[in-house]
Amino acid sequence: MIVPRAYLFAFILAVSPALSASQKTSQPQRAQEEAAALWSSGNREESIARLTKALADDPEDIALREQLARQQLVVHRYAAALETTQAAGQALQHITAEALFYLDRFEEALPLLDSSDPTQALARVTAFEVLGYSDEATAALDEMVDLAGVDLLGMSLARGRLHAAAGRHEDAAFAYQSVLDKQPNDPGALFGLGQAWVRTGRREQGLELLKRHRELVPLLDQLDFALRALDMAPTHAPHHALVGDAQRAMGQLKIARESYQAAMDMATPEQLPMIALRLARMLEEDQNRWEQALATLQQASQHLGQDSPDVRLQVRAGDILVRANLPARAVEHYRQALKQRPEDAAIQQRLEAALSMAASPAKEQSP
Amino acid sequence: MRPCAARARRLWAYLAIVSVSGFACGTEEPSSNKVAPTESEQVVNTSAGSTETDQKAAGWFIDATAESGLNFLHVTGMTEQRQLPETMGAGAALSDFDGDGKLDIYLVQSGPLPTPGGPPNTGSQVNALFLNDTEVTGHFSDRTRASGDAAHAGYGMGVAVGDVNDDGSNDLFVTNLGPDALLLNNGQAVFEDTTAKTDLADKRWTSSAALFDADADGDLDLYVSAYVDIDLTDPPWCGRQEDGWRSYCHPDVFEGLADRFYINDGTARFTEATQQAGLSTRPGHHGKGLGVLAADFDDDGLQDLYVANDSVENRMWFNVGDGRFEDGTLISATGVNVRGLTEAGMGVASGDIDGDGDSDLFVTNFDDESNTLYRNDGDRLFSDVTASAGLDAESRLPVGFGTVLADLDSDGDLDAAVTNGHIIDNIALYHDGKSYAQRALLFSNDGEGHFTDASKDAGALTAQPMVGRGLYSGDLDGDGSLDLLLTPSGGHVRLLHNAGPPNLPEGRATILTGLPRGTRVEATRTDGKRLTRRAGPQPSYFGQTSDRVHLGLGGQGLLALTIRLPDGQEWSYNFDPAWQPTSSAEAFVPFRWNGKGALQIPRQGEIMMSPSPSTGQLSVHPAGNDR
Repeated sequence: MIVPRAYLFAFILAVSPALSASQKTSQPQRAQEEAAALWSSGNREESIARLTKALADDPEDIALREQLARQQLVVHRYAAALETTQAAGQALQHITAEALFYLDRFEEALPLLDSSDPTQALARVTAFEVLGYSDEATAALDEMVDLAGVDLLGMSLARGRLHAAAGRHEDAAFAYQSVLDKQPNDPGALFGLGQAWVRTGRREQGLELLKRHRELVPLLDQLDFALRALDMAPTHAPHHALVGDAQRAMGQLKIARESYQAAMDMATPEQLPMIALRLARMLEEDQNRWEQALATLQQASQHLGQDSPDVRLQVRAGDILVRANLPARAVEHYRQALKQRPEDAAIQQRLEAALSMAASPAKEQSP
Repeated sequence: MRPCAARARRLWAYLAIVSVSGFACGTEEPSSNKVAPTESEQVVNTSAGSTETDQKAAGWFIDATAESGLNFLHVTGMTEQRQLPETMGAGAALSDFDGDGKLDIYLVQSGPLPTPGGPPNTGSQVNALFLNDTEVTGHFSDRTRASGDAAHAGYGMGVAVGDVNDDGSNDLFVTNLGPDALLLNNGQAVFEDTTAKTDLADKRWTSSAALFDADADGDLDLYVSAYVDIDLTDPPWCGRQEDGWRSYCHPDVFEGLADRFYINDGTARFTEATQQAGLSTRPGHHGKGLGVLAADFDDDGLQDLYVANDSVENRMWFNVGDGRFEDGTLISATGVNVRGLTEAGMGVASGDIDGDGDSDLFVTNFDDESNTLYRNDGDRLFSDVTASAGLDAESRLPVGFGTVLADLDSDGDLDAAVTNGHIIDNIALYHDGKSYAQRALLFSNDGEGHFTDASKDAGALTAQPMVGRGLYSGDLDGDGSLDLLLTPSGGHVRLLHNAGPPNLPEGRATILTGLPRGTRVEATRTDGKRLTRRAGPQPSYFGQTSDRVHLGLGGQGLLALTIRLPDGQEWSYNFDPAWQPTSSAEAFVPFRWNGKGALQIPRQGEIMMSPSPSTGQLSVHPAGNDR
């Protein structure tokens, strides 16, 4: 799994503070809420500025400080995040550790990374690996065995690398195989297992795996590029869709769907149809979930409303229904499409074909 | 504003200023690449006449740019459009161009971007040739005006050097954003552009080149890496769409270009033979090549090729004979890093870092990646040992470009130096831990391939950040230690004198010159340590180091030398312990290979040492007591 460093901690970088509803709203809390609203609407600099100002007024407020530091981490202001957490001492040690990790100050980060936190525990392994401390990395992995919520595949990949580095290629192969058993297209595991097999006498089989890995490499690069673009503008819907495209190409359909859905949620009316069409295509073609594909198109159509309909959504819906052997339902969508584009010969042809199919009810199946 | 952001912005302002001043020099003589060092660059220049002790106190490397006479300002032609070529920097080559035995310097210039409608290059921004002075080794004179077509005015990227027409003098091949150039040397450092007589006028964006004998016929063939397909008239906007935030685009925005390979007929007539050689790549799968290195990785006597590509898979091409290659990327595992991920390959270097006799491989990469050290495990297998070698953590924040694996402390193992600099001039806006100008890194080898960060002891090499691109090693001042030349992207080229590391005994070394590229040299020291080195230049980034073989003796004597030529001929020399190729008066004695099995020692009265016909070996005796 490709994990750009900016995303390593992404899931714990929930930028909205956990505010207690029962508490009376104070000045700092108001600032936090305002900042959270700004942040979620894509106004990240304004959010950080709001928090910075509030913290200047109330420097003892740890929650404010934490929220600010977390936001600074997300926008790569790691040095600034360090400054922010410095005054809080141990209270914000976990964020300090992340900032140091991102700044590649691994020796300093290691004592602060929390081995009971599943994400930071894996970051400890990475830090030990990068520093060349293989034994310590292995020990850190061993400590994680009973930790709930850990990235098991990430652990196995790390174990495979450590075995391989020590020349224990059979053990490395076992670790990588365990990843592939769960994620058959994991590029790191394909590469690692291919290498391990080449070095343990299974040269041809190893090369086959390496060829499979090579086919994935451009897709990995595509995903990396999409993630970088998303990092630059996280509220730009097409960037989420690009990530979805890359994930789909790699066969990571579940998270691709999440990316497309995020894109749809953020999309402007102009952006929405293309994104919905891509998600629908994946649902239908890759997952054989034509009903969900149809629902996606309908969701987009409803969002666009009567004022700005997009003919492509209706045509695709009709096509899906034809392929699902439900031409009668397809006819309705093609007619809707023709209302929007009456002279379109291609739509007319589709309508006629669907009508013809519908006239042969024996061929039509129940959904 | 954060300090690093402020630093990067100041640098941006500086670069803008030098670009403008560069354009303003349009009517000056071709060598107007000279500009007085800016205040920020005058940091660690040494004063003339300083003692060696003073120099050691100043650090391992001492900035000798000013007193060396080397005065060259690289001009990027930076524009508001942030055109990608502007941030690539340009290369340099260290070679003997006038046949006096001393290393000279050829510097590639970029200049105004050749954008339609843009400011023309009026001839003021040209490549420059600096010759090592006859009287004072290590002092250079600008001979650009007298160098003929070496004063080339393309928007330059890289350079490769070699004797392509077998006339005994070193010729130049220059890669450009635009037509490349083949410049033939008449032996007196005067060059003629003969590109029109060849197939070499590639108009695409080419980057690096390697001159090497691909088909073992005795002449130098040529591999040229190409980068990406850009349209200067319609540059995309990358980065945040606000004033001041526009940044240079990631190469993924552009399509990669196919590299090309040319066969030399021995007379500098080159014919493209990419497909026949098996070196072609499929459309859509071309590399974005920045570094090209020729070396015998599988120890079969044939020169293989390694291409470092930017953000796509690197390529290892194993030479299978008759000028044909096969793709060895998968089996060698050198296309990606240990995690199976591509990296942004920039500079490349090879050498025996762990003393096992084979050539290992080092590639510099982008930030958030490490530089990558591939250990040669034999049988065409390599392992990414970057972390265990101690080269990972320190290389993750900077963007690595030029690199050398060279015995910089003359103790008998190959150290690693890397020059760094971001490609995005306003990177600090996006990441407050990063900056455009970055410090170089120096790693000291323990002899077994484990490196220690020695940057804090490196003196002028690491004392100040620069937008580093090229880094080239060679003994420029004739003292036996390897000096460094650094080329930036926009700014002054720097020459660093190697005074040796602090707290180490005086290192002794010897240097072998005149050996054909790919010659394998094995040396045995009096302490039993064996050194394996290969003759020929290293490309670093966009250029080449000295092609001479440097043997660090670390205060020991030399017992034996074995020289194995690319054609398989092997010559062995044993040395009398009472006689050593070092002397009290000089730190080292250079040998010159005469091509016929004889080693000459120019500094000891041209003593010829030839192997015994019966044994193929020779015992060398002290000078004056020779047979």
